[in-house]
Amino acid sequence: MARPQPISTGSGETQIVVRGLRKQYRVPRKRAGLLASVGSLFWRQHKIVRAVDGIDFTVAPGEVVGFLGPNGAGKTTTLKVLSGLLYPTSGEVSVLGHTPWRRQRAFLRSIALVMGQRSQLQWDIPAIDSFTLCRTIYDVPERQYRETLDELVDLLDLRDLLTKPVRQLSLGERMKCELAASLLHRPSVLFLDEPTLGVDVTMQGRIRRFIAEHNARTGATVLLTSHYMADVVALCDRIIVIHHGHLLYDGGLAAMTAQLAPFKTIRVDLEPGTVADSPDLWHAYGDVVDAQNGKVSIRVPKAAAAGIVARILSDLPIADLTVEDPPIEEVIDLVFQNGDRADPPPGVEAPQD
Amino acid sequence: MPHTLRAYPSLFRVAWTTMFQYRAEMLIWAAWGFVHPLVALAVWSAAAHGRTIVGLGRADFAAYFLTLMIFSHLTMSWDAFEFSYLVQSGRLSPKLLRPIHPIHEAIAYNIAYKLITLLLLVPVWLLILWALHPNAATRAWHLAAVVPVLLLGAAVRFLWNYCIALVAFWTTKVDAINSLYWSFDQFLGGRLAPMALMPAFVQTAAWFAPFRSMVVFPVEVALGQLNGRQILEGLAMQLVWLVLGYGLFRLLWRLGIRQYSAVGA
Amino acid sequence: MRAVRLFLVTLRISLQNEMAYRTDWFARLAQSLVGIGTTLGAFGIVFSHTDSLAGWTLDESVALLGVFYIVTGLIHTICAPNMSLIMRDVRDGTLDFLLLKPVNSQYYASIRRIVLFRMTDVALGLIVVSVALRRLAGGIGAVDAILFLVVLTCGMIVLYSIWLALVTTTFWFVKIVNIEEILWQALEAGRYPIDIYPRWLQYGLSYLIPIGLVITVPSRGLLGQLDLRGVLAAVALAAGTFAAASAFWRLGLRRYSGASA
Repeated sequence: MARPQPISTGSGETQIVVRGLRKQYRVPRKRAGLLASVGSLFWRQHKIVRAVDGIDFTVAPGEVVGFLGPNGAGKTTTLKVLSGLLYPTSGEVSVLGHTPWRRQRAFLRSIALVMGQRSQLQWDIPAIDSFTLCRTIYDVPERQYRETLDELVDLLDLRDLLTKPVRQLSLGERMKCELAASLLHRPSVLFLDEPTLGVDVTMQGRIRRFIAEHNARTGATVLLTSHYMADVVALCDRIIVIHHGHLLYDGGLAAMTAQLAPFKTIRVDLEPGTVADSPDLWHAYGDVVDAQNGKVSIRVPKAAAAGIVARILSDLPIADLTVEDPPIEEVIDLVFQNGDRADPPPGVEAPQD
Repeated sequence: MPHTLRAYPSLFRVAWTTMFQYRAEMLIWAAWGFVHPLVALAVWSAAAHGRTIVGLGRADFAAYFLTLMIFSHLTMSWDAFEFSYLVQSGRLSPKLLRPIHPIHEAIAYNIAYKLITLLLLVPVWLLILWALHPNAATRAWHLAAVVPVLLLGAAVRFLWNYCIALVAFWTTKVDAINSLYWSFDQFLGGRLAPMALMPAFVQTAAWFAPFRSMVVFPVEVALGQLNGRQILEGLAMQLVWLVLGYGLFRLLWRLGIRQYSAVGA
Repeated sequence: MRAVRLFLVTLRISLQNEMAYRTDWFARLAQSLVGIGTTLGAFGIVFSHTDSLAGWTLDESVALLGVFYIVTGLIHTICAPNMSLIMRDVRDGTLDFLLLKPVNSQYYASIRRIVLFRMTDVALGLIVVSVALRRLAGGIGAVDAILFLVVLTCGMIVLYSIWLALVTTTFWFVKIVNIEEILWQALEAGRYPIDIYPRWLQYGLSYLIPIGLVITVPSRGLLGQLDLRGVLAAVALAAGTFAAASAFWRLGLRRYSGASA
């Protein structure tokens, strides 16, 4: 289902190249029970988990790419390989012309990784002091540091947060500081792993806006994973869907809906007083998504949509009717369900030793 | 009380399963039990240097410190360290809501710890005993007497240690108090040297603190150094310290809980 | 130069971290004093029954105790806090941040936290040493002082390297949280001259976990009982263990990054 590579960009150059990336883990098989736990002291069975199982893509400078996939799909593993934290089992990866896992200084200076659940800020002291540490580590010249910091303080509205001990900040406030700390050295590639996890809705919006602005202003490439569809919809021109370590889709958001979800949603408001919202009645037209209080929505094949609309309008007293593309969440759900059917469960091979 | 007793099997099962998960850590902690007695043994062996000190030769020191090492493990308790963590992290609160006193959980963990570590320690102990040729005047009846004396010693040590632990209700600086407690134990509990080598005033002072009843007295019984009357006197002392410790525990607990709920942790 | 600047920044940040818990200082000081007092009391009891302990007089043993506190104080100040930070990071996955920094990972991992108030132990140790030396010979010569510092530095490097190597095993055995206790246990043996131990243990404490090199040997330097050959051996040993520990650290990082999986 993956769209053919390479993606066409204005300049035609690529900044990130991934070819045939595979990452397998060997994990001990856990067994329950006291006797088994004693037994596992002496012998262990292992299984191979294929976290990433052969994916290819390229990214051009300045792109914002969203990685989608359920838990354990291989998103974070991919991000960790790209940022140099993990050696792949096989495959080629090049980021900014470097092999990430060699972790050369020049490479590390031009990337940043932000992890939603983990903090690199020191807990007991104000964020500004952690920033000073980052400045020293990345050897940022004083003037550039001042400028970057001022910009970040404005954009992220950090002024009052910088001097408070980090432990007193809310999760969202802390995440803003984490972002700032990661951007002080002006990385040209930014990896964001679940940056809005656990953050309240307003703050999610702020963080999203900031990432978009940052990308527009600095032209930094952004690779982002998220559970929240809204993050991806708001930020990414391009989406890579990973499931069970395989690449299921790579392309634009709109095209994904067309390609992966060949159906439309018809929403109907019945005329007041009509009692025609029983699901049984509507099964004749399509799959009932919702039916209550005189409002009904059904899902129908895209090709048949026009005919069904005509039938409904002639059959029933309708106050209002709209035909929509299905919400992106539904599409993604559908993709993952199909993916489940297409693939075997994450590679469990014969026990070793 | 019958209700409490009936809870013990399940308390113990949980304690055992949890501790078994951390068996490697358990053994590393338990290794501390080797360090101090063996260092003390080395010191006194070097000091004796082929002669005797107050009638004690190298083999006598070996017997004393090895028995001390074993009995110290058997009577071991660590609640003074554990409890302050429970109080400060707020983990004590859910335990207080249960219809069973937290001390019973501590007892169950204590027993589980000893059983798990003994599996590995006993062979090591035997090896060391064999290597060092200790010298003792132990008779069969001494070994019989050692059982109740040792159990009482463990009970006294646990209770007093728990009392120190309860200080955590009032201060966060439990470590400093612990180290003071530990220091007294070194001198008055026979950890640094057999009591006979201590200055006279220390020997006298030892009668006015519970430390002597915890480990040294059982060691002296096991080594056959005491006659019947002395053993009975020691037993009486143990009972006195047990009762005092229990009274103090009840008092501190009542006051401490009041303090704890007042602060609203 | 950047390395020095990085050190100064972490020093400043560590100081700020400590200020959050400054009220503990007196309790800690009391704890150190109780510890020293107990050992001095033990020395008093031992030396009331003998004049020499494996060739060491009371004052010499007290000087050694001072060195013991200098060494353990330095470990508490910089070595142990950073090493346990590494273990925590491996457990929680926050080591990732460290690995993504464009600095030498071993260097940065070793200087991230400095617990300055533990320098009080070092100060106490210095007091004990100088009191003992005054009672002994009325002071120490310049050459002996320099030899002492050289050997002490070598000893600290050896101990740091062993500590790092032990902590690096966390990359394979993530679960054992208190593996450092083994080193504290070995260090405890250094409270007395290693000459009091049986021959095999002396070898263990000289070559396997060289507590002897860290405490007993520098103390000999302090007492003017050290020749140049011993000093050179200490320097060679320090260089060797440091190189070995660094190699092992890099191997551990490869393991952490799944190079061998």
